[in-house]
Amino acid sequence: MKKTISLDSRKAGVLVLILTLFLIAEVVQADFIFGEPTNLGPTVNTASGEGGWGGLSISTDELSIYFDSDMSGGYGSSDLWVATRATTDDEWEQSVNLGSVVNSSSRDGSPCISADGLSLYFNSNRGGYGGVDLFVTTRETTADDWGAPSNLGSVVNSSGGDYMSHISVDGLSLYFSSTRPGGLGNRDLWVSTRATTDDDWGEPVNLGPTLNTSSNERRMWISSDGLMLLLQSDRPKGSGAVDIYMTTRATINDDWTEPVNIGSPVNVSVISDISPVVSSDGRTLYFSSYARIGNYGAWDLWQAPIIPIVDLNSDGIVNSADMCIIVDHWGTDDSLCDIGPMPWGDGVVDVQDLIILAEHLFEEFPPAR
Amino acid sequence: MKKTIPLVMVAISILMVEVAHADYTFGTPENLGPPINSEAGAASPTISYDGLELYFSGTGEGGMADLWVSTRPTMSDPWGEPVNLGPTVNSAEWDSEASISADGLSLYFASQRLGGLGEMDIYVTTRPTKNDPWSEPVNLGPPINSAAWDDTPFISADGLELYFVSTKTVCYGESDIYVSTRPTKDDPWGEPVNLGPIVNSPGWEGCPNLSSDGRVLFIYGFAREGVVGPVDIWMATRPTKNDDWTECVKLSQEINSPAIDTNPCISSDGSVLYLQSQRPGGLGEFDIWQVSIDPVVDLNSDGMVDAADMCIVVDNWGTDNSLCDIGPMPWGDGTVDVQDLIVLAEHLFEEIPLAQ
Repeated sequence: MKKTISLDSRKAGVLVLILTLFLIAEVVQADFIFGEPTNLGPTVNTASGEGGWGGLSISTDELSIYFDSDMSGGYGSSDLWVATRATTDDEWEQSVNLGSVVNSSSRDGSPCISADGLSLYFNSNRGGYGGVDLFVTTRETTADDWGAPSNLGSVVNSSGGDYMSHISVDGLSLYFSSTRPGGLGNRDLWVSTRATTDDDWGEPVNLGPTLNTSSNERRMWISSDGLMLLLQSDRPKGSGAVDIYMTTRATINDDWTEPVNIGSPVNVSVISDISPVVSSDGRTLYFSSYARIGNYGAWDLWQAPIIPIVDLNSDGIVNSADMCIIVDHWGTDDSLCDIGPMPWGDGVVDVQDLIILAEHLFEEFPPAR
Repeated sequence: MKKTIPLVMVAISILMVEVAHADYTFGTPENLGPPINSEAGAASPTISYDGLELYFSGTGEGGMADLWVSTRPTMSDPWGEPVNLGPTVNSAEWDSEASISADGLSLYFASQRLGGLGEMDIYVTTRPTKNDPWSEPVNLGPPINSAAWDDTPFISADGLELYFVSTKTVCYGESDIYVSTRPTKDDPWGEPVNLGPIVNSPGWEGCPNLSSDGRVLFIYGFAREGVVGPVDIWMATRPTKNDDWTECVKLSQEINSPAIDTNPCISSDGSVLYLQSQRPGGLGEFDIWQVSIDPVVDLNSDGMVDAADMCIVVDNWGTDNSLCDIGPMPWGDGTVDVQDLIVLAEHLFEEIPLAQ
């Protein structure tokens, strides 16, 4: 009798596996999720606004966070500030103003630190070609002080508003938001490129109708592998305010698909969530949020974990059955199994995905409802 | 296919006991061929950590051994025409037994050149970058060199241990293997320490060559068991690089021929063992040969590397089961972990001929 039971349970196991194969088709895009956001805490966030004038930027080592704030102790209006920490396990230390060489009495905001930590792009209405312009300040080494900012010039900056830049990891593409003519309406995302970091920036190109709409597209972020893009937009279909949208692609030669609202728990109804930035290891989303429950002030900086879905068969545990699913899809671009090295994968099911699965081996997951 | 997995796993648990130690195998020795080997003979190979430079000793002007180097642009290219290291490095006397540091910037070797402390001394030559020429060699001096015979140096991957053979203050036999250490690369070498009776025997030992993970030491041995026979290659092992040596075994007769087999040199990834041999099939008196060391990846011996093998790794996760411990080196690292999965993944879907 016992033998029959054990045989039945084995059959049931096979059935579950077969069912899983059907389920895969449904959850094929759910290869990672955003976890519950947490506030960066009172050494960064104050009763004033942090990240409200365009946002924040995180260094490659994730030990420095640059942001704008109108807290007291600055040089007028919004200033650029930085907070540091000794290791990623430590709390952020008290933030520090970048000083009078960088900051002005005008609105200085939306910092973006280059991958090497030696260039800091930001926007300011301190004067230039009209409206808000993009500026850059540089330093020789990460131990040096920042130099006097320079205007990015009349090719990048228009007579309208040019703001909220994002510099690619190779330093050769500058993405930004602009009200200049030639867009799809309101603010659009544009990109200017250069052949080498010693060359001048080229004529900006509109990122086109997949990413831009007639609404306001503002700050965007693109992963170092070029496969994941986040942007902030107040387009309809959102939570009612400014939301963060995401699009991914299997290879850099593929076109972007229409960005989707990343939804709960990051985007919360009616409140604005802006300036999405992801850590270089792809595991943490940083953003700025307005009037969110838990805020210290109007605008606060928050972070949310980016979690690959490693329980591929949704049976509540990461084990060899999940590994079998990866092996069954070896060499394909199945996105369910494509969970490494970044949570959004790399377009192919391979050893990178096994490595991520192994990190989570034997972890138990509460069954989804 | 899925249905078969539970059954396969049951069968595996039975099989595992039997093949628990077959976690890697040696391939068949292959002659490196020309241009490394020639009628002039080629001996004492040392391979750079990137696998692109092969230093060895060959005949120099006047018939004495000189150091030579052959290079290849990538691992898949053939070796280029050997080049003599020239008069800055080589002397009119015997220069041989080289060992290259992991960064490729220091070359230790033994020489009988004039001005030494004994009959054979250990020297080092350096270069600022891999593109620079080698400097004038320097005698390592005491406590490495002595009035005795100090030979066959080997520099460890971290550059902090120098293994060599010496006839000084012999403890266990005719010649013994010693190790000298230094706290940093800027410090002088400390007093040499005898490797002890597992490695050293009443007979002769030499040519120490340590794997980059420090867990395996290849040596040559002669008359180790009291019987005078051919010079053979032996392999000492220890659980971690901080442990004492626990075992020293002679490699099988597939590796050791009835002729002289010596100067073992393991590649930094542990996948190829180079050696010097007098076995038939060579071009000179001595030739350089290589033998592959392959992890056994078909864990359940069903002829195919697939998900069932991965299941076995997962079933033994975190243990020291040697069947599953196949990475990063073929002899594993003492723990069943992601390193073993990575090796398995490299061989995924390979068909493995079944053993008889």
